[in-house]
Amino acid sequence: MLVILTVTGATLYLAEKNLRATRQKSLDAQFQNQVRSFLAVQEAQSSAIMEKCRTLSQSVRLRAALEVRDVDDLYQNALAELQGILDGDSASSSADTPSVRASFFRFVDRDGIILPPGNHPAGLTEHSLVHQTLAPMGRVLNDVDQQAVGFIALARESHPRVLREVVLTKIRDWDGRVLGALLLGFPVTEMQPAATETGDAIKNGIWLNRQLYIDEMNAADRHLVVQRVAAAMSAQSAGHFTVDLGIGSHLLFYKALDPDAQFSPAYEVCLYPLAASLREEQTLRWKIIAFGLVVLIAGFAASLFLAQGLSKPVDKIVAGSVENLTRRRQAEGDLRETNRELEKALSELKATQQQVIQQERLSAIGQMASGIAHDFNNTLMPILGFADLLLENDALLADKVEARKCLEMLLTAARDATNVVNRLREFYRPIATDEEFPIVDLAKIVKQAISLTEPKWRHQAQANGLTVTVSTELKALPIVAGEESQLREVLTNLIFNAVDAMPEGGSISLETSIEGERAVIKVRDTGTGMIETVRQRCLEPFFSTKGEGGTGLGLSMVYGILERHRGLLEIQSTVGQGTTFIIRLPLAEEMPVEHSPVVSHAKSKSSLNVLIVDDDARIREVLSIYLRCDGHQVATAASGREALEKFRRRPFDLVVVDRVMPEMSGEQTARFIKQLNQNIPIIMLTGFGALIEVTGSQPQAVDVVLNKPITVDALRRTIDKLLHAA
Amino acid sequence: MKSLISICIAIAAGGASAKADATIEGLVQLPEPKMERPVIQRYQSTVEAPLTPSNPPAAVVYLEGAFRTPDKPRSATPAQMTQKNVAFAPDLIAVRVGTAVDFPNMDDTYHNVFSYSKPKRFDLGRYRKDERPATVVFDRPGVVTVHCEIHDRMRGLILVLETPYFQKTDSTGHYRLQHLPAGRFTLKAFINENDVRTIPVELKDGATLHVDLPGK
Repeated sequence: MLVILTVTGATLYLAEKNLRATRQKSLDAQFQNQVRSFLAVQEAQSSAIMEKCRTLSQSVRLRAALEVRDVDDLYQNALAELQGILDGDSASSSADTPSVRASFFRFVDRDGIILPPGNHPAGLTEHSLVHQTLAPMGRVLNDVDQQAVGFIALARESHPRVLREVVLTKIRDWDGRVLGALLLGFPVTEMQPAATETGDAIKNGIWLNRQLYIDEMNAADRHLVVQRVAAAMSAQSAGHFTVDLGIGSHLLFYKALDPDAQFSPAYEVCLYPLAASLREEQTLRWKIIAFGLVVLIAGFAASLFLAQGLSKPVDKIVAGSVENLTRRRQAEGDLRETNRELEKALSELKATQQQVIQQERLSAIGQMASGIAHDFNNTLMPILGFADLLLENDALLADKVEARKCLEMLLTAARDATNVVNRLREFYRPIATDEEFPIVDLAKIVKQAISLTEPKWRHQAQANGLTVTVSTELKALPIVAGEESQLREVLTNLIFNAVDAMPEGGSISLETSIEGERAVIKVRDTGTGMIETVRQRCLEPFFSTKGEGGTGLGLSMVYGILERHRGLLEIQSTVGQGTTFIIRLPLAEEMPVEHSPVVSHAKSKSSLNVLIVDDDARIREVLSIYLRCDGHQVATAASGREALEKFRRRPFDLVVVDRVMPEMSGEQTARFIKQLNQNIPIIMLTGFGALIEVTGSQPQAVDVVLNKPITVDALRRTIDKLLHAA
Repeated sequence: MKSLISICIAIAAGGASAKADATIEGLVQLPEPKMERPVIQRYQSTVEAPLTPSNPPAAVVYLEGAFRTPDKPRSATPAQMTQKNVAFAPDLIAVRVGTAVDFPNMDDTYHNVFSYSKPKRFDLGRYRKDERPATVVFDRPGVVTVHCEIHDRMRGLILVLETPYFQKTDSTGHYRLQHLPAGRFTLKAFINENDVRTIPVELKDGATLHVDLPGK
């Protein structure tokens, strides 16, 4: 008998304790989970808006309008910028701008006074409360560093729908003086309503300014909750307590939404009904007591069945706990489901945020256009030059071979110009799957890229007193399908980057090989290398480590071109040791088509005997044409040594010599020539003429220094001047 | 303060001339030249000319009051505020009401000059070096702040004046206003919107007045 009583009592106590602890634990987990998801969703939402606000605060027009307090221009420009974000803006309520819709925006001046929007549809213009509730926000303007988030209520009602989250963004002028701020309000994300395992509704709300914004709660209860939360906050107690409301006993959780805000603090409040759990506890208690009584009576009636009587309750208790366990599992399942949905919403919002940022970046392309225009102008120069030459010089036009040569150069320059335009197109051009490429020889492209970039890695480096060597290791001569000019551009870009990455000089190696089905090109440098974050971001458009010197477009273009060629780009980099770019392109099967170069022969008209000394064949070519057109006789030399040999063999009237040459520099060559014939005029060509002017160190042996690029006119005038002087 | 202001009145040349001809000269204390550090803007294209130090400091000195002398003819040639090295050059000009101002672009990049200032609102749109934007006539007196929509660091001031007697100081702050009428007027020095210095002056025919305008 005593045993039975003890067992019943102990069971009763343990069951109740277990039930209560489990319930408390599960509710706490549920609340924490909900708040976490709520905050994450809220953060994703507001960070997209904050990003937009930051961009807006940089707008020159908004700054200019705010500076002169021109309210009309201010709101008009802001409306144009906010198109697609502001609610009630029917033109842009398309599907691509989901979730984040601002309900209103206002500007405040540097004193924090709201500038009324007048007739501009800045959202909620009829609401007098907007003005009232925003005013305190403006007043804390000076305490805000750059941006701050706060909450306001638009009406005296207590529904959460009247709440708005407000982002305050300071607007400064170029010197950093505060001009005012932009306030942008948008609806508060509502917490996903959930239910307890017993089906009773959980209540969610927001506590702001000693007001509780919550659905379906009577005034007395609301007042009580407000008081209790305020008290709990000032006591800084744990995040939950029990409260006895008119509608029953509830477990209340609360958590600050913006712990660092300069504005009135806001709290998320969650109420879980305890009535159901109390009911459950009571039922269980009665069950166990009744059960104990039955057992007692049974004990009195027949001690023979004592053993059976004992085994029965044990069975039932086991069954009860099994039932409890299933319920808990089910509740956990529900919780997981809610969580999954919230996570989904979160990832969608993050995608939207990415889109907004992407759009901002694209708008910067507009600014790039002026850069492209400049490049375009540069390529137009030779076009104009050769066209001019042909039109001006009838004899040249009549000579078919020479004219053809000029036209070919004209064409090359025009093609280059097309490439400049195409560069812009690379940004938006999608990958066409059916694009057919001609067959190209990679080894040839590698060689071309090296010679094209020679001015950069050889001459510029030499001028800076550096040595950059470029080596090739063409283990295989792979054939791929691709656009020659684009693949060349990939390599020239990589070579440029390699040179820039080696401020102390170094070596660049280009290797080609075949790996299974793919052609591989490696561009290796011995430069500074990249840290991991740079390596990860280096392909992004407008990401540059070159400061003013870089557009941040080179590598993103490389990436774009390789994408179109179905190629892969791998970057290996070690800080202090260098970087290797590995390009993998699918191999093609056919053989490349060879283009035979056009052969031409010079015509001769004699007037002056000119010797041109330049290591760059293209410059020799262009100068020869220039001079021959004017009726001079031209001989060329690729080096100082060759020039001296030619000079010893026969007399010349004029020598044109390049400044930067391997082995023997232009200066040395000029000095030797003057030793042989003191009266011969010497023109020196240089890409660094400006430098010479500044330092005043014109080489002694030289009569005139001419800057590259050289026009026919300048050359002609210089020659005239020199000969007249002589 | 007073000790800083030295007023020297030269001995008046005897005999009344047909045309009043007074002169004021002196020194305006200018703020320290602003050392502008070139800001690396990642989105800026690189073909632009390198950023240079800001314009040398200068002020506009002008005489206000009721002038009885006949109106001086207005200049027919437009004033100029160019855009050079991504800055307005000069970044402060003074013009008389009714004067036209040109805004030519000397840079290789686009510019878009506009203003929201009360005396003159205008927007020239985007233009390049070889394009000539419209000329703007400033027909109301006041301070006009001009901006470039593309380059947020660019800022220029145009002081539109009713008086025909004004001059921009040199970079050391010296000025000399000549051929002024005689009488009581107000001399003002405009450094920027927040710093306009005022001194009452009395001009005598044929005399040269020395007035310095120190800072606060």
